[in-house]
Order: sequence, then structure tokens, then C-alpha cells
Amino acid sequence: MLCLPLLEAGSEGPPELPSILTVVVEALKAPFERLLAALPFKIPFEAAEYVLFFVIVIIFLFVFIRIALIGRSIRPKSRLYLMFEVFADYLKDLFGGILGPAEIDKYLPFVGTIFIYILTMNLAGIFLLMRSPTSSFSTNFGIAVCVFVYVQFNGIRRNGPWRYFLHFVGDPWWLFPLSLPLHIIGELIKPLTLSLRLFGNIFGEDILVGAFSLLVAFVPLHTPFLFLALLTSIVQAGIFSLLTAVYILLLLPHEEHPPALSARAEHQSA
Amino acid sequence: MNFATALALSLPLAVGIAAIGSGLGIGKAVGSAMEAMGRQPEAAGKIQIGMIIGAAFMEALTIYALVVFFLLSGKIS
Repeated sequence: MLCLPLLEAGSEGPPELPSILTVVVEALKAPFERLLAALPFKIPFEAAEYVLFFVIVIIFLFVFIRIALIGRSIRPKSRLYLMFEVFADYLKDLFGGILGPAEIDKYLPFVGTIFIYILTMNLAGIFLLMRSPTSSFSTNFGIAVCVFVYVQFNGIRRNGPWRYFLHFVGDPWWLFPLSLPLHIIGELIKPLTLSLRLFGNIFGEDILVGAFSLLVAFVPLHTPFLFLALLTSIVQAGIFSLLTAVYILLLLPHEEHPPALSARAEHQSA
Repeated sequence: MNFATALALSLPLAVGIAAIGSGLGIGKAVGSAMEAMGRQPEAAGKIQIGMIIGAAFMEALTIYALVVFFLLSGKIS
């Protein structure tokens, strides 16, 4: 397996299967050694591969969806377009169960995009010679910061600044020295947990596959873990976007009693 | 006992203990989900989604321990 010498080469950190950028850089390093050493700065090839695959995923998604959109019409016949339509309907049902049918149209573009984007990035790491951009903490933290800013801004926009602040104070207002810091810390920790959860799962899968493929040469011992990586990629993308929907829902204005319960109470008393 | 020995002893132990906790939690959650699905098979889809979400949360706690392991494993010499 040609991966073995390259796995040993990058063996300062935990073992990972190499990506195409690492292969190319290692193969072409010899003639450029002196030039690279003479440069005043160090080219960060390790970080560059995450950015490279980030860009590759974006371009791939854009091209793929654009090709599918060619078949868009009132009565679509193109099967690719219909596949995307079924997928979009499924996402609308999934997030509609959380956000409710009244709010889903406003937030589905954001939450659905996050789901498709993270799903594609996670699945990219399973292929040979590719690496998921989500296996670096920086990518995930960037996405989580976007989610955090959007959720807070949406809370202020829907509630008005005073009621948004009242959210952090909580029910008995005289407990506010206690509940205000707690709620603020609880809000600030959300992007951290979102990104750490995704990072840990995807990075851990990479390490698992890498460590098992190091065990025996020429025998693909890491195959069961590729199936596990497939499962956790899909589940973690779903979790990230479901949690985004839940955080949006938590900061929306809500009435005191949910309408379903009060309707049932009226029905029983009538 | 120097610093590297202490780290090398405690880091795998930490991940193992975190795995015990999440094993107990996920076992209980999935057990209740199975029971609920047995009582009402029509709702099996929704129960399954909720079970997966709950399991991912508990899994995340174990993964925080794993992340701490990776962060500190460079300091063992």
C-alpha cells in the first residue's frame, strides 16, 4: 500500500491516511527543498489541505446543484432534479417538526444549507486520498460562529432588544445575579460544543481508519470502520443542523401555553 | 512519578472512564427507546430520530474526553 511510507512520514501527530495534497507535496518535495528552505516564511501545507478540500467541496456542490437545476420546470422530468426535490422535502419535514410549519419557510434555507454543506464535507473524508475539512477544529468553529451570530441576531430581531435581554434573566427576576451569568455562559458555550462535537467525531474517525490501516500491509483491515465513518458522518451532520434549529427555536418569541395543549383543555372542558 | 508518567497513566484511564459513563447513559436511552417502539410500532420513526439525537449528545461527552487526550498526548515526551 503506497500509503504506508507516507503515514510514517507524517508521524509526529496521530496517524491519518494521507490526502492528495500530502502525496503531491511529498513526491515533489525533493527538487524544491532548497527553495522552500530559502523562503523567509513557511508554507503551511498541513493547513492548506483543509482549505483546499473546503474549496473543492464548495465547487463540487455548486456545479452539481447547478446541473440538477437545469431540469427545473412545472412538471420536471429530470431525475436528478426530482431527487433533489425529494431531498428538500425531507429536510423541510425534518426541520418542520422542530420549528413548526409557521416558521420553517424563513429558516429552512439557512439550516438546510448547513446540513447539506456539513454532510458533503464529512462524506468527502471517506474517499481515497481526500480529507474532510471538518476534521479540523478551525472549520467547525467557523461554521459554529456563523450559527451563533445568526441565532443571536435573529433573537434580537424577532423579540426586540428588551425581551431578548429578559430571556437571559429568567423567570424570578430577582435571581438575576445568578441566572444572568449562567444563561450568558450557556449561550456562549453553544458554538464551542457544536464545533467540538463535530470535530471529535470526524477527527476520531479519521484517526481510527488511519490507525487500523497501519496494522497490516496490503489488507484493508479498516473497512468496517469506513462503514462506521459513513454512519457518524451522516448522523453528525444531522445533529449539527438539528441543534441549530433547536437554538433558533429557543430564542423565538413563544406564548405562555402551547396552542395544542390549550385547545385540548378547551375541548375537555366543553 | 514525573509529569510524563502521570500523563501516560491517566490519559487512557480518563478516556476509559468517560466511555463507562456514556455506555451506561446510551444503554439506558436506547433501552427506553426500544421499549417505546415495542409499545407503539407506528411511532417507531419519530422515536428512532429522538434516540439518535440523544445518543449523539451522550457520545459527544465521551468525545470531549478523547479530544483532551489528543491535546495532551503531545506532552508525553
